[in-house]
Amino acid sequence: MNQLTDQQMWDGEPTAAPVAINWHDAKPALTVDGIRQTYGRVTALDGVSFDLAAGEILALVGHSGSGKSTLLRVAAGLERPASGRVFLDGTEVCGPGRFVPPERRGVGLMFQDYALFPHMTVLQNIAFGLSRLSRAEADRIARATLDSVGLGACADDYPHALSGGEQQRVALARALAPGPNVLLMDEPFSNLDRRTRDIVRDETIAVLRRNRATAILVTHDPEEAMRLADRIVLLRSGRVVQTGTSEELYRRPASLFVARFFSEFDEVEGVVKNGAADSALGRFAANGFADGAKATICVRPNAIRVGKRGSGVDARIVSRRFLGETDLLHITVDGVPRSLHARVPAGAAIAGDDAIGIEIAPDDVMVFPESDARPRARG
Amino acid sequence: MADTEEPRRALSLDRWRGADGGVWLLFAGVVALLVLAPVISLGLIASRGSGDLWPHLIENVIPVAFRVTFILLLGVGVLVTAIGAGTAWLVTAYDFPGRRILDWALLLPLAVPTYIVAYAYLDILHPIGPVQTTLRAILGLTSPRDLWFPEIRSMAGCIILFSLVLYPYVYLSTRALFLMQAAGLVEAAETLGARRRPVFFRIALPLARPAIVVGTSLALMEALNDVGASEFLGIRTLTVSIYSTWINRSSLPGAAQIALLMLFIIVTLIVVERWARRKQRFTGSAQRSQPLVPRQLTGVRGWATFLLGALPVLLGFVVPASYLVNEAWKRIRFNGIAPSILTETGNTILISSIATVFTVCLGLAVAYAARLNRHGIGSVLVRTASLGYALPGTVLAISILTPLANLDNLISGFSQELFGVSTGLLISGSGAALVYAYTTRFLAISVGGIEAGFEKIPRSLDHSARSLGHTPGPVLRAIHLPLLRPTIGAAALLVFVDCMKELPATLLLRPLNFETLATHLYAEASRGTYEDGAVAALAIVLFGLFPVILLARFARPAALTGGRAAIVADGHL
Repeated sequence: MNQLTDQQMWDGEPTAAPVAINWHDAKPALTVDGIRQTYGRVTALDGVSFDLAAGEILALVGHSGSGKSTLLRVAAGLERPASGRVFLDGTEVCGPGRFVPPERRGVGLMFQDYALFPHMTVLQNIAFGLSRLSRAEADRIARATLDSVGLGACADDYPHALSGGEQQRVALARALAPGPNVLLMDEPFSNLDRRTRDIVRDETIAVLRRNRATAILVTHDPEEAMRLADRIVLLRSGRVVQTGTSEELYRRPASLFVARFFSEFDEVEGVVKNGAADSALGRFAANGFADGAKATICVRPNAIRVGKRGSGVDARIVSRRFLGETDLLHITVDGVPRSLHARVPAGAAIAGDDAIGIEIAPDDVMVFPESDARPRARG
Repeated sequence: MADTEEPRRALSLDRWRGADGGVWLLFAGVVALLVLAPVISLGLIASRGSGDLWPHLIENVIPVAFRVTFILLLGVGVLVTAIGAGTAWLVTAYDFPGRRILDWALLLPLAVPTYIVAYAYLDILHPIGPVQTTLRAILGLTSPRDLWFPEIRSMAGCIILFSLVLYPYVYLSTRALFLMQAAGLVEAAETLGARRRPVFFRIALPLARPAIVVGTSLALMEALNDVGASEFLGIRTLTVSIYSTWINRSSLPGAAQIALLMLFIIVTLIVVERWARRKQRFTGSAQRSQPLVPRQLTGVRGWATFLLGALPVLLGFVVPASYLVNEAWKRIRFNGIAPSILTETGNTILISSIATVFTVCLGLAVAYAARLNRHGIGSVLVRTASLGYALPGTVLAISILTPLANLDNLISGFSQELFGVSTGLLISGSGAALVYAYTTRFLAISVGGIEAGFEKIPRSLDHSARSLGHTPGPVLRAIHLPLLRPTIGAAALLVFVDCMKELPATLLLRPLNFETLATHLYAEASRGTYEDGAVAALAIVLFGLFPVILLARFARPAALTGGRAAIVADGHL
């Protein structure tokens, strides 16, 4: 454990990886290969594969029931998959005829409820994973780890005496103390109220970076994933829909599903003609689409530029909300059944003049084939 | 990778060996087999055929016993439902003087086993007993023959006596249900203009039906298990027939055949109970509401309500217990405490303690195996291990005596051959058979209790502990055992007291000259000198009070956490 003061630990730590690393070149700390899991007739995981580089923080996101928690349990050895392999630091821990139980995998676990042992003090909780060491050594490391999360003064308290945020930090310290190969976190922040959550999230990432920990974070919250993770794996119905950095998933979503998961926009129908989708809002590039195919055009709120009637497409403002630096407008356009949301600089639309013209910035528009009910799996 | 399909069976075996429990599951499987063994053995014994006896049994014994048992169960069922659900509603819906005392006092009759209440009332209502003597004095009659008094040694007497001590099973389950979910519906009905009494019949009673079925089926199982009281009151139930076919006619196969018929009734009861409980679980999770705010009853109406509610406690506990205290005091004053009573108490505590240790340890292992193997056969093993509770003591004794005697002979034979020493009746003679019977019969209590305790511990604790480098055994010791301590204590207490009260299996399986409090009492009763068993009976009732206290203590805080309204409701009393 690094001998750091609490201040060093918590202040001014970067929340992104310190140096830009090409994760694919680094040696994988964890490899998940073709994991399938079934419960009776229900398929929870349907051939999930990905690598996790040492020092990388990866977010597993998806709606509830997408299989993200199951995947975490499989990686931890709490569940045995129907098929597929898991490698930790290059060693096979799960595969045909091979299964290493969780106690011999060297993975750390953190849960939504923190899972602190209520009958043990904070220090005993942390030392629980250090039982292979001598008592004195275990005690020393436990105290150092506790100090590193800024809770050195709480060593002899029982978990119920701590606040939610403090309990979360104890859980983090307990998981990190034995020096796990990989830290697996299942919705670790969702039990905290909004304000505490923001603080604890930043602190947690700082501790992980400081320890150069490799971690998987399971969350249903796209914003949390984008904020904390180096890379994101999006799951849907037990399959990987897309893997990439948060920017890749936001800017270049592989499907309408991915786009919907990570950003807010209005959807407008269009028909493809000569490589572009025609719609009530104009024509948008749709390369590779067949002529006559239906397309869904996704317009982000900040893609809409407001101007005088006559410029661009005719539109009408039906309501305005003042949001500080921006205004949120609800706009109707002939031929578009539902009103559109536009986020414009405050005062861009003059009050009283509701008949306007709008232009759409093509960079903030995405076009998908309309029948995009099923995700297209992409590495 | 994803499309490599492994053979299904190999895979499930693989899973069984790997992540989910391993040796624990294997051990639980052995325990489940040990519980199942008596049923298998019963079938084998019955299949030997009872020869000449069968025509007699089928013609004279079984039809009568079936009819008698049916009437008894029907009567007890109706009466325990009326008393149990009625009193539960009384203390839930109304507030009257003494309600809080009644709330727990209504559980007291649980401490009195059926055979003790029968012995006590036979004496109390005897022509020269206190009741009839007083009545004659009031009416100015001199001869016992002049006063007509209902005969307690009758079907009606038996039904009433059983109901007086068995209704708490219904009271307990129904009261819990009322506390948990009655308020919303009842209050809704009242805002629609219904009054409280019709609400009971139209809303509360139908709502409580699953809980009533659960309680009633438990009460009926107890009634079926009884041999002491019904034999004593001259009611020839199936259980009594099994007992006498074996003891008096020395026909084990005949007894086993009747026992198999009886198992059929029990299985029916269990199926009904399971069916009812499935519904209860559903409603229980669907609508959890604040407890009902009871309606104030003051003055004469309040006291009248109290008396009505207190009647079952009075008849089921206060009267027999006072009688026992009085009789015991007389005997102790004249003769002191007989040394035999001390020996018997020692025997009772010893054998019950040993059985309790076994029952709780095995129960813990089975419950833990089921926790480790949530998706697999764990729950099947738990259910199998709990089957023994459905076997009446008499049936259990019949089914394990022969196999154990054979085993004894086998061991003795080996020993004779190898060492030239006969070990004699190593198992049946040492009380091991009795411990086995107790463990089989009461394993359901410890498994069920400990399983419920496990449910309150989040699985994330197990997972964290495992990932921190500890195997299942040490995790159980370091994490679960400390957290389960109260649960295990409660389970141990319940099992201990049940072992102590158990009569039929104890009678049939105890080692020679080994007397417990219950068998002593039975012996006195058979000789017609049941008053002399008063001290033993009192000791059993006193021990039996412990679980009642436990239930009362644990039921109340649970009720209070139901919502703030409950605290308010209790606060103004």
